[in-house]
Amino acid sequence: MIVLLIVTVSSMATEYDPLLLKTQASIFPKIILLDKDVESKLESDKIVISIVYSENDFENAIRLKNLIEDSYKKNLANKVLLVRLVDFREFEKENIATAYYLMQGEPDVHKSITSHAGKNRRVCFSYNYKDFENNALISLLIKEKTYIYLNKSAVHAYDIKFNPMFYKIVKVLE
Amino acid sequence: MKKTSISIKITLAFLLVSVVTLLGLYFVFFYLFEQHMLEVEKDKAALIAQTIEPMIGMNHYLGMNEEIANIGQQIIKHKQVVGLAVTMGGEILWSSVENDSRDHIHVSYPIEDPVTSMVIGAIDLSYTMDSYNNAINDVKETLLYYFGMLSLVFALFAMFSRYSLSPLSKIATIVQRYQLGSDIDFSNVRLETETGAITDAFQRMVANIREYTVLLERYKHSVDESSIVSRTDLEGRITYVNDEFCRVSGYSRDELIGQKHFLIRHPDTPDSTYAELWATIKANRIWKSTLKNRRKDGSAYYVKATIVPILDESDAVIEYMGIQHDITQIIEQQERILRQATDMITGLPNRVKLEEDLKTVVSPKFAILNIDNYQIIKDYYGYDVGNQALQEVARILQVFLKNHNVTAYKLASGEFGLLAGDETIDIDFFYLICQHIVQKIEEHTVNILDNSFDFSVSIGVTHDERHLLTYAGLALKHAQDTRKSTILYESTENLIYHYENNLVWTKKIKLALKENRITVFVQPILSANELRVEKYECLVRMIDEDDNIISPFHFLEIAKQSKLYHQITRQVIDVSFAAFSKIDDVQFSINLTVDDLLHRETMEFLIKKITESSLASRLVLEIVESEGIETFVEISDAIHQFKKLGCKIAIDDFGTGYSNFSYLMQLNIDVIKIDGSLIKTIDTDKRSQIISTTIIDFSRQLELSTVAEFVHNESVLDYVRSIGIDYVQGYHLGEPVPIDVLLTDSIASN
Repeated sequence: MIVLLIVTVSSMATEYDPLLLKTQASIFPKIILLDKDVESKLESDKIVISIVYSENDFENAIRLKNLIEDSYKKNLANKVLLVRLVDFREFEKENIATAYYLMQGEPDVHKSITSHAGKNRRVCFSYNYKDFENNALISLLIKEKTYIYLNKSAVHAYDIKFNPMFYKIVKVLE
Repeated sequence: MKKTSISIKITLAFLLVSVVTLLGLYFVFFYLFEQHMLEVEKDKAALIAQTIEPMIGMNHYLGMNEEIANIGQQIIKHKQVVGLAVTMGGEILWSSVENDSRDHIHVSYPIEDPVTSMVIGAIDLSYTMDSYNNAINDVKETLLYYFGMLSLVFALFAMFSRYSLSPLSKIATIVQRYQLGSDIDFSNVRLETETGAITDAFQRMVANIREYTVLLERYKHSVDESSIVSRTDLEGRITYVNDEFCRVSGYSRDELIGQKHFLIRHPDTPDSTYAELWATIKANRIWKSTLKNRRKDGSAYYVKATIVPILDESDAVIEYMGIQHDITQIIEQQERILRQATDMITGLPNRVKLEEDLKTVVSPKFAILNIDNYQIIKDYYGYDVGNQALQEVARILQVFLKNHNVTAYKLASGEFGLLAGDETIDIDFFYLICQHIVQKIEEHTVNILDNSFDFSVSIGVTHDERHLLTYAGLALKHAQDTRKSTILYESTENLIYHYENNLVWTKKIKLALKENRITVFVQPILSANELRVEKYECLVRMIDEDDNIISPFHFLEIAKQSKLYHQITRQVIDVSFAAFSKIDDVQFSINLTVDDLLHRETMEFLIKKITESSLASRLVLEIVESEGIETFVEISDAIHQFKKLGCKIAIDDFGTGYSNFSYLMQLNIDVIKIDGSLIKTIDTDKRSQIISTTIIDFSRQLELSTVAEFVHNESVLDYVRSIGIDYVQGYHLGEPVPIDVLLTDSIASN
């Protein structure tokens, strides 16, 4: 049944690299903490990551959520880490998270979310670095080694001050 | 010991200073540089670690450990990084160690969590010391090159110094060879600014030396011409004498050179003088004094000598120079002056010296001391005895006064002056000194030849600066007149009055003698039993210009002082003989003093009168003031002569003073006149009675007649008759009357 489910889902959903997901699940939460102003962005003293997904990516979103929770056991730097799954269609601008994670999706939708995140100076990760065109801020790619990408054109819009060393290890894309 | 040249000294000094400085700099610089370089290398290694630490920390934080390996791989590629290890939580996360034998340093750098900043690991980095070693080697090499160059500079500097200073050596050689009086030639010396200045200075110095030498020669000539100059070695041997020395000493130069100064030493110069001379000059001090030297012919000459020790540069004596001036004439002149100012008999300074001293003395106290009866002693015993008496008194004065600042002078015959010029001696103390002098002299028995003398002296003292000699003389006179040993001249007016009075009376006496107003009164002397006039005593009186009769009390003493006394005596003798030659069968007595008896002219006059007349058997010579006459042979002879002529001798005023019976027998006298002071109270005074009775008893046993004078009342007359007196005389029995009256009465009775 699991196999059937996987096949079904996979036939409907966009493809996600599991290793990439796992790596992103491992790294992205930590990047949230590199925001120097992270304390003001907590939700009830909790770190909340909203994974925004499209309808057909629910399962990947679940998978990602599980990967994160498995990695951090709902605790990141002695703070409670909550991972929320938000459907693109149900995205509410009032529901502000500490950070956003964009699964693959429509550019316009992504643009509205990144705009929302940027206005609220929230980090917005994207599964695919190509979402930088939609003003996603950070993404990650595994090639011969792991690369963290930073969208240079969006940096000013987000107005987020990271740990300076963060800028040393990321690859900045124009 | 050969001295090192200045050029070598300068070079060596420069070398020494430079080497010490460079070595100091080398070690300080090298040490600091090495330490600094080491620190730099450590800093570089630390910097590498520090550079990668944040990325390693961040990668580790993000779990990107493979990136840490990448970083490690990149770092290890650095040519100086030979090892790198990244340790996280005690476990080596990544490491790489190259097998490299090069020296290296190890740096460990902590890795912090980028979020919590907690140390989570460490970077251990091994870094080669290639840069350090290369830098050190480069520095060493550079310094060695520098030292090499410096040595070359030193060598060049030494050569240059030697070259530059070589003229100085030549100048030194020329100067060393310079001889006094010659020229100095620097023409062969390479001259530059400094050496030129030096040679110029030497040229000027030589010119100055020549000038001073000429000057010194002239000085020497001047000294040689004006002084007696000699030089001796340290043992006193003469090494040089000038012509003047030879001329004055009478020795030739050859006779003097090499001889000790002892050659001209006069035996009168005491050893102590030469001892002091040698002690002074051996102490490097100049000796100055007067020396009495001896010429070759034995005669003495005096020099005012200055002996100067001549010292070398180290103040050691090398010889002695004597500069002397012949002061023989001055000394002889001084001795003549001294002789003129010295009494030759006593050796004391004389009146000339006294008057000289009085010019300089402040607040002087002065006294004149007179030996009583000195003139008589001199006349009687002769000049030799008189001189010895003066010498003895002078000796006593010198012995006594040596402890006081009082100087004794010999003045007139038998007179001495005592001068206190010390302001600390006040007049009272000086007076006391004079009294002690009197005591000393009078306590002292002087033995001259076979005679013993007990001198008495009188002293007149004054401190009146204006008329020291006059007032002291007046005080002395007053002392003698009042028979006091010492008189302080205080009452000027009284004394002046007294002596003005004397002058007046002297004039009166002279006038009286001239106008024949010195006359004779006679007082009868009666036999005690029958109260019959048997004799007359001739008494001198003066009739003044107003026909007043003047008692001898007023003028006789003054006459003695003015040498008119003997004229008066002769006048009395003349008048008495003239009168009594006209009066028969009565004795008469004439008073004679010791002065009269010793006065040759008076005695000859009296003897002539006696021999020319027939009055000798009626004449009684009364010797008054007879105290001490037994000591005079002349008086004894005179008495003997008068007795031989038939005269009788009476002793007047017997029984007082030092009267004694022994001389009565020696002088073979006939009559004793008992002193009036005993007679006038004999009726009441037990003492007078005992003395008078004793005299009468004694006279009776010697078969001498006795006369009582001053019988002034019946009671006295009764008493003297009761004790057996032979004759009586006095106002109760008959006052003195003019001899002319007696003569008139006698003629009338005849």
